[in-house]
Amino acid sequence: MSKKIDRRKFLRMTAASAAGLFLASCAPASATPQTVKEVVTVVVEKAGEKVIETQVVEKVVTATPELAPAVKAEPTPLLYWFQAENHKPEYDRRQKELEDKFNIKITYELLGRDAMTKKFPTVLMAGSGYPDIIEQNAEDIVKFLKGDDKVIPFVAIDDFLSASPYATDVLENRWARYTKGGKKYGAPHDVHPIIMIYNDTEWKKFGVDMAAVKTYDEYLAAMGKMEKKLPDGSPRIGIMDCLGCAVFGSMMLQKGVWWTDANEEPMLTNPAFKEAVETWYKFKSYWVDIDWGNAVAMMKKGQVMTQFIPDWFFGIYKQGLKDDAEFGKTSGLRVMRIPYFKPDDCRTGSWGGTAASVPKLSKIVDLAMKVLLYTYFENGEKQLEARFNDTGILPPVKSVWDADIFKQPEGFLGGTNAGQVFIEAARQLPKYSENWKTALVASAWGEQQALAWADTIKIDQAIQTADENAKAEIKKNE
Amino acid sequence: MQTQTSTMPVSKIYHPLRFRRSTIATIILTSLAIILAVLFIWPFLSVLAWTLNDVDASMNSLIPIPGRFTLHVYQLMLSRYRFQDYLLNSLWTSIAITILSTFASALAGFALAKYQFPGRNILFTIVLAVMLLPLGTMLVPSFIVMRDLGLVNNYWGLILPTVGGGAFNIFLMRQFMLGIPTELMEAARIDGANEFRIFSHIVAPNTKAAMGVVATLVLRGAWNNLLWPQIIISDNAKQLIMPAIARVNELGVADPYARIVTPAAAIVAAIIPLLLYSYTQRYFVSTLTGALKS
Amino acid sequence: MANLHASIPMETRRLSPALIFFRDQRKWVPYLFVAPFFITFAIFTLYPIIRAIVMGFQESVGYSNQWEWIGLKNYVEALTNDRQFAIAAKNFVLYSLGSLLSQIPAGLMLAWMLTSPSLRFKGFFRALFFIPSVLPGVTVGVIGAWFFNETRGLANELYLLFGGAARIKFTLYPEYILPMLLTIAFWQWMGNHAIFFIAGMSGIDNDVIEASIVDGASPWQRFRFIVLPLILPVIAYVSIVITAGSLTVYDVPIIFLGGGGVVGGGGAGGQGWFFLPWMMRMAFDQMRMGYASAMGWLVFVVAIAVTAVQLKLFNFGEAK
Repeated sequence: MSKKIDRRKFLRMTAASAAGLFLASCAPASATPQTVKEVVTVVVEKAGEKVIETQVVEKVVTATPELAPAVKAEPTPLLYWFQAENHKPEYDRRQKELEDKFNIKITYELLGRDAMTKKFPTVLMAGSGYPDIIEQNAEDIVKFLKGDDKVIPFVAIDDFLSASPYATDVLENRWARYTKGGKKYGAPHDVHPIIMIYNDTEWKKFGVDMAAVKTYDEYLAAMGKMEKKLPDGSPRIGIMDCLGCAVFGSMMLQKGVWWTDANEEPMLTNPAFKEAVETWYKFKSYWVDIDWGNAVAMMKKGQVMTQFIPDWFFGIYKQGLKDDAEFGKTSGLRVMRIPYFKPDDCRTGSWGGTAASVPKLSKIVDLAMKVLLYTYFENGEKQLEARFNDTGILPPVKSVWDADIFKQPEGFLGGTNAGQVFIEAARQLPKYSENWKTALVASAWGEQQALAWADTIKIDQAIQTADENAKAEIKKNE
Repeated sequence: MQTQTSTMPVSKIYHPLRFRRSTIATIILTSLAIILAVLFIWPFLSVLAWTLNDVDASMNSLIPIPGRFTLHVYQLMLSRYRFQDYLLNSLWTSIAITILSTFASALAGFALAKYQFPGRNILFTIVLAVMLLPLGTMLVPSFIVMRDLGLVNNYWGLILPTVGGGAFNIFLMRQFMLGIPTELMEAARIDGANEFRIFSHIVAPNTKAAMGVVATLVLRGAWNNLLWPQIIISDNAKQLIMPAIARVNELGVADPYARIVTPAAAIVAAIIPLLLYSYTQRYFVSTLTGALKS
Repeated sequence: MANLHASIPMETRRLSPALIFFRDQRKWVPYLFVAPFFITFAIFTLYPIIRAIVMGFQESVGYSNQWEWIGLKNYVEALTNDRQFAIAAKNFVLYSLGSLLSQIPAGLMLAWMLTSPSLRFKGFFRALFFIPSVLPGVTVGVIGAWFFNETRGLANELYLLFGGAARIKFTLYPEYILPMLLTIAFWQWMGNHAIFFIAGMSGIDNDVIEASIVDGASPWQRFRFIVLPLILPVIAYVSIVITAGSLTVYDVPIIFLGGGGVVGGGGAGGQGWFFLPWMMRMAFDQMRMGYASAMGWLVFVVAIAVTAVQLKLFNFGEAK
């Protein structure tokens, strides 16, 4: 490893000195050679451990203002891995911008989630082929948050963040998820606040004004007023969601619990968790799984009456409906904040999330960090607004939220606006921590929850078994 | 000692009912086969019908007829997801692998079946053991080997490991070749043939059935291979068809078209091995020559 | 052997053993024939095997290339303190037994039917039954999941058709996991096995059959005493392939039980674990590659044992 670094340093120095010599050779006699000190970040092996160090390198540079500009250094190659196909258009569009600004040559590699989760540890262990920036689903990043800073394979972002112009602009609460031991290891791509989309016209037919529904009890009561069949005989569904994604997740956050708490302890036995479960189970008869069909088509038809959606799902709605001008004229679809338990609850949840990190193995940590933060948080040329426009994803950068694009009316929402609702929700996003134990707890619950949902066992027992299993797993894998 | 040629009309194959061929039997049997076949193919047809439908439509699962027949999904597959690239990549790597691997498997299986040589049993045991290796946990060291040989992101990284034949296939060829009468081989040797000629002129023609089976298996395996190409090939443009399908499949919820394009792509991807099988399946039923009465 | 010596001219019998070795092709040709396999094995498989064996006694420090030796700890843990591994073992036994008992007899019957001269369009039917085995694992998993889906699945439609009371959400009940997976496996592979059996049956000498018919043997007798023994090698192969496949089943459980992510994959009550999904989960999501390797080798030992037993049972798969 260190050999390669030396070679790179060597090449850089050679290139720089060659440039210098070239200029010196055609410089007028009056040009004076200068010695310049440059600060360079390198990874050095010390006592068998890799440590990031700054070193001072001297270069000889000769230049005068009248001469042709210095020969540009060779662009540094940067490998960027990502999973989400809907990020691809943005990266294709911005590639030139980033390459010009940082003098890099970016190779974007789009890997499926399955491929990335196998390949990334493989390349880390093989010691080659790893990316300089890796963008993954939240759950795939937090599983690396184990042990102390020395063993976590990502570079801590904190110092780079404070040196950047985005330090205080990123939504503070969103970092909690990717923080361990006080250090941030992943930069959040998004907030993914959850709001509710509903078919107002259909609800009004049953005498329900959804916009006035505030608590989960009222929400449940509204469900009861709904006719369970459409005029053509097909079933009508009150709420569409996977078993634990948007609604249950939101309920958990609103009750103040998550899979693991700030001390990394599982929270399954917390009474608030049980309350969330019991409330969610009340909706069983009105629920259908999200893979039952195309949500957009069903909501449009009135077959699905409400859905809790994060911003990226809103993007899916947009993609499906924005060109449908006819529908826009009579659309009864509206958005609103989700219900709450108590008035001072946060009226939102969050589903999914992507974050990016720089592996410690990267040879251009400094540069990669800059590129990463710029890609994620820079809005100088309205890049983040464009992102919202294309994918519906709300950036976690607060200053951007004043932009006009978030105030636009949406055709398929009958002219009402969604951006502001998302922003309100985002501001209320609570802090929740995740780490390597989170998936174990969530899995343990998922296994028992299937039995509880089918009434094979009681909720209490499900919680207890899940808790025991989770704790045993955690102990085993410590 | 006459030898019949290998391709005989299908009706001449042995069958206990041979002499009692009657129209009633034909009707009953054929109807039974049709019913079974329909039951078997129903799920496949349903998915097929679903992909021939409009993207947004939901369907009655009992009746595999698309509500509105449209090739929209398949168009999407080509234009938006560019599956034709992946299909071509898979096509030529799979063909290369099939030819090399089948040939090597036949040779090795032949050696293990018909020759006595020191180390034969050990080798056979190794072949069986290799068949059972836990490849999933050997991913990291295998990747390291490829990296050290410079074969990462390279089609040779996919092809070279198969050049020796696959353990399953060597095993299969051995089982089939056990049935070749040694007398035939001895007779050829007395006539002055060397071992290679014995292989090409006696063994190979008589095991066309087995070779056909092995070739189909190898092609299917190479075509359907998911894990290894995922790891070895980094360039999305070079990727093979199955990793591409897996990748698009995972987009599931986030991409409205992914859920319907995936089965469409999988169906198209299944056509190639299927065509090959139908083309070669007459070899599956050719009889073993050998009017050699022992 | 006597023939061979007779064919060698008198004067060469006093030559060195090496020359005799090379003169007699039968001595060295087998080595040449197996050389491609052995060479590729040595290069591409041997090192990873050795490395993976060593990994079974190690654990990685922080996802890096550094490993620390921990001896037998991984093996002990897998055997004594791993709930999912134990479930996977139980599922393997049930799944392989179920597969063998359902797929082999059915495959034989189908092969019998598809080689009958009374059947028209044989080629068409053979291709048809072969289709499911050609589909990639992902597709089969998707079809399977869709088949058992609560609201749109064929299984439920058929159930209601035959008098069932209400739709069943199969994935919520642990006792349905194995039956569902076995059904899917049956659908996927039965046609494939039938093709093997057909190929085996087609290798049987016609004259033997005709002789037996002349002797007055019934169809069942013909099958039991002539066909069955002669295709025993093929049955041996299919049997071993089925058990090997049961050990390494991956795609369908992953899709069906949702094991593709970091969360989930165990099915209802966590009863749906199989070896390979669990090992991959440990290796790539919990970052315990050494542990996963150890489990892999335990599974390998089981595989060898089961295969050896089967070979013994089938008498090394040699035709009598």
